[in-house]
Amino acid sequence: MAVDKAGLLQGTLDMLILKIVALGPVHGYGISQRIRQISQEVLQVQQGSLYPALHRLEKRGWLDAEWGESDNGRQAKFYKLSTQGRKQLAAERLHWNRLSEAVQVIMQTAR
Amino acid sequence: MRLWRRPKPAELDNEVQFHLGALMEEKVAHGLTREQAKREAVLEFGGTGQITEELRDVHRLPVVDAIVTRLRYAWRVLRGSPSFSLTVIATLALGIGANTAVFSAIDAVLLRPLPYPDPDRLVVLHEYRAKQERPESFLAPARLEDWNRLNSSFQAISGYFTEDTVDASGPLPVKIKRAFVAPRFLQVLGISPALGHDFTSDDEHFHGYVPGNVLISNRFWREHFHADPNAIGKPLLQNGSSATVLGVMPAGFAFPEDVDFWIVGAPDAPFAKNRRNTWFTGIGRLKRGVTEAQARANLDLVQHQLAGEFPATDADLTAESKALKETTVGTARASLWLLFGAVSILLLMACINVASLLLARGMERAHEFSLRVSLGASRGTVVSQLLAETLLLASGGTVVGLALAAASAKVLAVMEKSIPRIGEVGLDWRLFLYTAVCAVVVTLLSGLFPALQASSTALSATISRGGRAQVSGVRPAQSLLVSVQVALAVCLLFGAGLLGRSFQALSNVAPGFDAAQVLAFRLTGSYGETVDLAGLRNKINRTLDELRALPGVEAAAASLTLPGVPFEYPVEATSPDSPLDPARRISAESRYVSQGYFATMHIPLLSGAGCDQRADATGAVVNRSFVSTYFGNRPVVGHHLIGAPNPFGLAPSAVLGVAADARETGLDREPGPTVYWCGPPPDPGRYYLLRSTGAPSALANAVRERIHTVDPARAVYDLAPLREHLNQSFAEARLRTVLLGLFAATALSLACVGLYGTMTYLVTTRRREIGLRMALGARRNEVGLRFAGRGLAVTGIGVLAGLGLAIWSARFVSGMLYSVQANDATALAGAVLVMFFVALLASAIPAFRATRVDPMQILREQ
Repeated sequence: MAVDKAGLLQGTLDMLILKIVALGPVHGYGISQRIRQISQEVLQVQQGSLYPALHRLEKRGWLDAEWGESDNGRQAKFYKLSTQGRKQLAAERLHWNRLSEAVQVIMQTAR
Repeated sequence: MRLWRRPKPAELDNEVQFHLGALMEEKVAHGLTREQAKREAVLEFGGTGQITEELRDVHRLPVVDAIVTRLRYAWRVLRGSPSFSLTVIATLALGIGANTAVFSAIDAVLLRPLPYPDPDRLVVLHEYRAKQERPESFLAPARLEDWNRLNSSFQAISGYFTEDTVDASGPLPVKIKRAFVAPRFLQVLGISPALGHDFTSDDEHFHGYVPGNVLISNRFWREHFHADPNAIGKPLLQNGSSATVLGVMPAGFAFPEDVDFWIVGAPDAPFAKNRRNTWFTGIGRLKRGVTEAQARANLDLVQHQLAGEFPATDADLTAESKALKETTVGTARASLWLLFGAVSILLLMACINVASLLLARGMERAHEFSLRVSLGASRGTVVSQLLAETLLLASGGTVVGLALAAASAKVLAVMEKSIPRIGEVGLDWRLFLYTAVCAVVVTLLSGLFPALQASSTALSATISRGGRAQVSGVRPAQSLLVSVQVALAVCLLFGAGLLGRSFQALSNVAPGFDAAQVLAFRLTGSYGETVDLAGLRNKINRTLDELRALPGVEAAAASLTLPGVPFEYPVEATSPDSPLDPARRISAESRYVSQGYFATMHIPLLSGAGCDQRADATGAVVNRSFVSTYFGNRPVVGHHLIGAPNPFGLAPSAVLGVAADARETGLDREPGPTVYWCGPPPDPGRYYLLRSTGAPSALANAVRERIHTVDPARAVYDLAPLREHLNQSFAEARLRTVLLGLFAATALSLACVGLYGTMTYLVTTRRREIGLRMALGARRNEVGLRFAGRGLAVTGIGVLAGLGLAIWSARFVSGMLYSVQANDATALAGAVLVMFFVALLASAIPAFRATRVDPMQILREQ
């Protein structure tokens, strides 16, 4: 099952990217692969959303980027979390937890 | 930083390519062929075009976008009201144009460096004898060489002097100007010939009186050699017996002035070895890092050493130095800054006019702004939108103004050659930068206040404000702006009045001589002739006799200088055989005149006689103020005067007579004690003065022909009626008077337009009120007077402020005034009266229009 950007909650993609990048420097392809693998093929990010999101996060100062060599020896742009990005990730995680708890509560009581 | 960094397209492309590549390899690993893998990867990735587009959105700069949007909207608004826009642009173009034109002159004359490498290191040098009346003198060639050899502060020292000479090789003799230069001349200036080469050290030595090598000016090269690249090695003049062309200087090189050719004045020539003979103006190039003061101290040390070596000639002598730039600017500095002040006031007034136009327009557009605010626009948005409109207008005004400035700079350069370096005026990056700054300043000056006003109106007003308000009016701010304009105009009018009255006083001055019907001209000569002064005197007298024989010539004389044209030649003298205390130093202005001078110039002789015909004896005539200053009422005729020091080695001169006082050193200067030496000084330059029975210029051709017949080797030049020579000497004063008058008139009309506009606006917005008042019984003339009174009140406040401003700012012209005080009541009263008169006209028309309002029509409109 593929979830496009409309299916993801607004802002969720940014949080997912921050989370993946927090695991270590990674390029755009790697991010899409990991999201797919970790979500067990549930979430599949469209490249048309991924790259604008990456650049937006970089511009906001949450991600740092530099060119480096990938596993197969080709030049790729690697993203990593900045200090500011780390704070942002913490804030979003908090926000997400509260949101999902709230949604959970509503879904259970309204049964 | 991160905000401004845009990824390069190639970088984006690489990122995408890497992703596609990785996808493809994954597919290949799953067993697809490369072809299939590639197709699927592209399919899965989706359109790269869309990604690029979205990335562009991500990286777009919000500030730039906002500015573009504002400007685009401003353009539409301004195109919608072309007459308003054109009025504003024209007003600003005038203000900016005048300002830029004067700034371009300041830039060329005062700010731009001289056209030589490292011009700040060039210093002009003179000898200085503190004990003398005229302490500064030219530099002896021998001393120049010593200074150059012994100093440790200069890279090199050289020198120059110029001489008018004649090119007699053509059908008519033509005056040409040559510069004699000391060795190392071009090395000091840091300039090389464009063609050929500089003087060699061999050229810089004396080889007897034979034609040597010369460097010719670019102009001379084009006129006499038709820009022939093979001119090097050819004779300078067509007759073949002259010097050889060694090199051609670059176009525009004109140092020390616009000469035709440069030739070496060898310091080891016999006559030059005498340390008393001084003729060079020294010019030196400082070593890097050495200041002018250090260099002068160094030269004084050198000179001290020379004084020990040559006590007779070199004692009591120091070096005098001045930055070259100071000497080339002259007196133009004060005039230029004055004019710049005036045009800056003009620009300010133009801004104020535009500001009040914008204010009025802002009120008309109040509805639009309140609508925008109620739809969610912030105050900042409204202000920035209005500023964008003003910026567009100011930019338009700047472009037109720049064109105006370029045109007027050309006119200025043609009109006024007397201002040094004015020919260098032109548009350059500095000027563009200046006008760009102008545009921004103008935008803020004229746009900020109206924009703030309009936005606050928008915030307070309600959309539903109907058009039915009975009383609406001009804000106090608008009246204030008009008053400020009036004040500035009064200030400029006063300044122009002062200069005008001063110039008039100058034209009405009684100079003590009669310049009408006198023709003046010069003949080419050379310093060589001055070795035999008696012979020279005979030659001059023979020429004068020839001239006197011309029909229409009433009298003729020669003089080193022109009477009334500023020139100072102070001298110290003693009178050994007079009852005067012999130790008393007599200092006076000196003139060198021929026989017939006093008759020609109509200077009355009070006692004794003028310079007479005797060729072998020297005499002198003194003026009345000389007698009253130094001799009291005792008779002076018959006593002897001798110059001390006696620079030209002249014999004691018997005082032949006493002449009435005349303004010899300048029309604006009171005559002081003056000695007229009867005879030529050792100087080739002199003026011939002819008093004619008719119009002096009618003699011109007869003079040229006669001189050509009797002395074909000389050229006549500088030929003009004496009146024109006098006018020329006041060219700068006249120019600044005319220009300031012009600026004041413009300021007056700007203030007038401002007042008229405001009053018209007032009457228009109050039509209903006026109609109602009339319907309720107000009389027409009462209404008219009310409005006219309002206009005059606004003017009155402005005039009062203007008076203060004018009196304060008069200090800037006080140094330029002749026989007029800086607080001259006539000029002040004139400025006030003119302002009130014009203000009356400007408010009478709107007031009259107010009286024409038809109350019935207004009532029907309600």
